[in-house]
Amino acid sequence: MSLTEVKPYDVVKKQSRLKINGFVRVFTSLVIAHLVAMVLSYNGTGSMGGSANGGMFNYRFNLISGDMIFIFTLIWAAVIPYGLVKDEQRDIDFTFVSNRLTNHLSNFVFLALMSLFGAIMTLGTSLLFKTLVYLLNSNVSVHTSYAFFDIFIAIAVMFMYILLLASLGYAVSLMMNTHVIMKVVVPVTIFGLAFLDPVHGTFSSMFQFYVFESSLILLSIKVIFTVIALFGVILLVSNRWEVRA
Amino acid sequence: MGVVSSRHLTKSYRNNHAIKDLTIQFQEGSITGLIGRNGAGKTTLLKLIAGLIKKTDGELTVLGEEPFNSLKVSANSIFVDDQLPFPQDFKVKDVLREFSRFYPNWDGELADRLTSYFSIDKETLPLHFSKGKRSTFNAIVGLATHAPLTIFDEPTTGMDYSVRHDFYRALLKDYMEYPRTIIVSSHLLNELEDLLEEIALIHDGKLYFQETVPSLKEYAVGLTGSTSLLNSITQEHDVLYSKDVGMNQQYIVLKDRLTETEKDSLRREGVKLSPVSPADLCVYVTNKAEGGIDDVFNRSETI
Repeated sequence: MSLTEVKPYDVVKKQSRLKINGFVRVFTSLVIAHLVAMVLSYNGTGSMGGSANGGMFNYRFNLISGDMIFIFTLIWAAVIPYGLVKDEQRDIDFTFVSNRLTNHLSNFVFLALMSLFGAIMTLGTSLLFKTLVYLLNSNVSVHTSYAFFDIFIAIAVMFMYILLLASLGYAVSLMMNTHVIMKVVVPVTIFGLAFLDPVHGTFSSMFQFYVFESSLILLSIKVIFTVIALFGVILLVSNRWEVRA
Repeated sequence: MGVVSSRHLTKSYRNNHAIKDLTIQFQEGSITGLIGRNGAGKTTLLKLIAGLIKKTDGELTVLGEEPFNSLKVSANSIFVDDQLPFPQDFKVKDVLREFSRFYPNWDGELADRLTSYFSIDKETLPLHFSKGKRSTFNAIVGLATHAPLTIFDEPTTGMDYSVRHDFYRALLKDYMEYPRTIIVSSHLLNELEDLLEEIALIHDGKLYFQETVPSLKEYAVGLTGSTSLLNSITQEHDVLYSKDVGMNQQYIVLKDRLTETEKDSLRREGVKLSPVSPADLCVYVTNKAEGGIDDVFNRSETI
């Protein structure tokens, strides 16, 4: 029987489709997360009030924004990769045709598509949310309006942040999967670092590096290089790991 | 040069050798049974061949390559066991569709005919199948893939008698139609015997023998006779198995190295010679050298 020659590119393509077919839950879970976020932010994500004319007028502004929806998307993006690297999930690739490289690359393609979906959904949900609030309340003043180009920029920026968190989530999940003990050590380390952040400032400087970037191009460069570096390290480290052991 | 060949292959987990210094070859276009007791190292060997796990030492070549992490080996082989993981939301038809995308030799018609014969509903989730049905479905997938190297690890786990026989028959027919290298592991040889061309017996991570089925039928001979008479023979030959069968009567199994004149003289002395089936042979040689389960309960002797 003659042997078939395979190119990694074709296998990655097939595996990416397998993942999209197999993980429909990932996409429905975002819809649920967004519904929850909408309910939580219905009464405003920030408010301010005051009085004027010696108490003749009391006023109160409730700020309605899609921030909560975006934050929920980010949490979703960071958590989903854990499901992707679980042994049972990873082994599925090896039921079909796979090696370590194509496994990671197809996971990356999946994370990128998922991030794009997340960005578009976040924009759509927040527009829907604001429209709903506008329709259900009489005294709303609208402060955002989008031109076509603004929509593109908004999606691009959100995509970059979601992809960044998804990749970080992927790397952390892989680390947690190396040994049972790591499932405890890794989260504890992260929480510990977060608590001690005022002392050493690791997270706040990372935060500043990415979040305070006002240029879309610079942000893209920062995120893309970070993601490439992360996946490079992952490939180097995990290339000799066994499956279904 | 075989499709699969190993030299001094070793795989250990911490201090435990699952495979130890194993040298074996599987020829192209042959159907081989890998027989061994529980924990003999069958699954480990098959996973090494399929490239799922990494060898500790020695050489292993599959389809001309080191199999671990090899895309070529993955694309040209399939490893089927009772666990074969699928996405949890996939119905039977989804799984079949994915296989047809990944494997160019996929025989969709065969898969359809087999699933309907074994009354597997294409709209159901494999996750909800019983053990036997899951094994049946995995076996169907393994057959229809028509991979040049097809590996079945204990494929009949949980299958009932008639499904097992149907599966063996399907395997044989499909193999004759599309000759390829097939390795089937099992702890039980009885039902497989007629199907196989070669039998490799492994025990404690080592290859005990690898023989064609006809030569295995002549590998050993069984002798029944009086204990005193047989004792003289056991000293000169490799005894694979011995058992008391009555007052001063013993049944022993020897590697068949007796000459015809020796056999004739044994017959004259009242010893009954009988052939040993490959299945029995495998059980005998892999049993512990001394005693059996009866001796565990036979307390008077040990006290």
